[in-house]
Amino acid sequence: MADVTNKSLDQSSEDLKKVEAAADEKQRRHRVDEYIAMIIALGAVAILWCLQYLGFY
Amino acid sequence: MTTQITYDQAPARVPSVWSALPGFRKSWPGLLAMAILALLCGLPGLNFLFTLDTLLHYIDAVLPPIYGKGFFTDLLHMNYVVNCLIVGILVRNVIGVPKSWEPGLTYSGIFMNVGIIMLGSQYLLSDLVKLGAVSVVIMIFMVFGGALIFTYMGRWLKMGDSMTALLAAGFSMCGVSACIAISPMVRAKSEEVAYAIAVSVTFGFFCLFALPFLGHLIHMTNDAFGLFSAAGVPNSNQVIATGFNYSFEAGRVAGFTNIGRLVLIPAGVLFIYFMTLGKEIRSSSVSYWQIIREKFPIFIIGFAIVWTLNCLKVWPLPASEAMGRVMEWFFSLSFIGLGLLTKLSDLKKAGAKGVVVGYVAGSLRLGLCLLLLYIATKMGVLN
Repeated sequence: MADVTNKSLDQSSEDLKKVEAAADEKQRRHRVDEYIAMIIALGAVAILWCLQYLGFY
Repeated sequence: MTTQITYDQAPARVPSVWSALPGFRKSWPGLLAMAILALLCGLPGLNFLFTLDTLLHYIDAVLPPIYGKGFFTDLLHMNYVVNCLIVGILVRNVIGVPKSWEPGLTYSGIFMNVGIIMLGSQYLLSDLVKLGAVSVVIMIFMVFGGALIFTYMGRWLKMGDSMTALLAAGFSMCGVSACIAISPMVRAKSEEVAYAIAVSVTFGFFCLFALPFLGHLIHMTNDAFGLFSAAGVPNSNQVIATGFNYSFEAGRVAGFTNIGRLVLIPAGVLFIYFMTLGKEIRSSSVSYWQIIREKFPIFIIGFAIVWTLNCLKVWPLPASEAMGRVMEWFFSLSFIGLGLLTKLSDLKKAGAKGVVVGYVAGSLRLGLCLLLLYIATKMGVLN
């Protein structure tokens, strides 16, 4: 009985670790997505602004 | 006496945030597929001959009108948003997506963020004055009120604290991201996380097509519909798609007001954490400052920079219009990605109880949102 309880506790703590790892990974990806988006968007805005002064439209 | 440092004693290296992004070598097939499919659907402002958009306009011109309206463009409201989503969903669920596309498809979230930042070039200070106060009030009501609806419904149906918290986070805030963000805090099981994500994504998918029809049916204004989609639809990507599906102006308002909801994520996560969990779990060590720091959406700073520059009239109108066009192209790419990532098999994964709780509480949130919008309109604070 005690073995069964210990085994189920081990399994749930393993699962919790898996969930934590997935959340950490997602959080890091979320952050890097935000940085890349800022670089692309601010770059695009700067290019379009310059193109206007160069007389493209 | 010298101390020897063994490998076991050395502190574990924290992986860099940049390592989370798949490299270009892995991602290019998916990125290329998104670009080609978006071009074939018809990008706004680019008048190519062989696009789905041109084909639908041609069919509408050839077929006799129904009640004086074109079938695809007027009655079904098929625009670039719907075209991209439907093509993406069909490719994923009918033809199938090669494994090599998967890393590139995850870039669709980046394109959505780029679009939101560039949305700042379409706003002036007058927009903030017009929509700022009412959108903040509605968002606060919807984030915290929505979380309360889910909490009480979860308790009533004896759904379990972690599942209740996951659904409350997924529906009240930012769908998938909020579910994953709150999962370790509420000690959720991996299958519960997958289940909650499936319910929130499928509900958002339903909203994406149903809400614009409802909006047209009850003749909602663009401002009201933009607020409605930002407050009622769970996922940010689906919020923007639902708004632009209704009209360009509604999409603009949805994107603007959705920022209010994104800012509220850290507070919302903590609110749900306190509302749903028992005292014994709450006593576990959770750093509130860390939660606020980690969950705050940094890309909003980019939006604020572009919006401020636009308010200061740093660039003239033609540049602002060009930025609006490029913003729509980035949104098109993200809608294609959203479609290509939508697995209809997730509907099965959601299961009966999750669908009942998620859909009933989600619909109650939509009803509450409509009521708030009605009150705001009657009070004259919203068009």
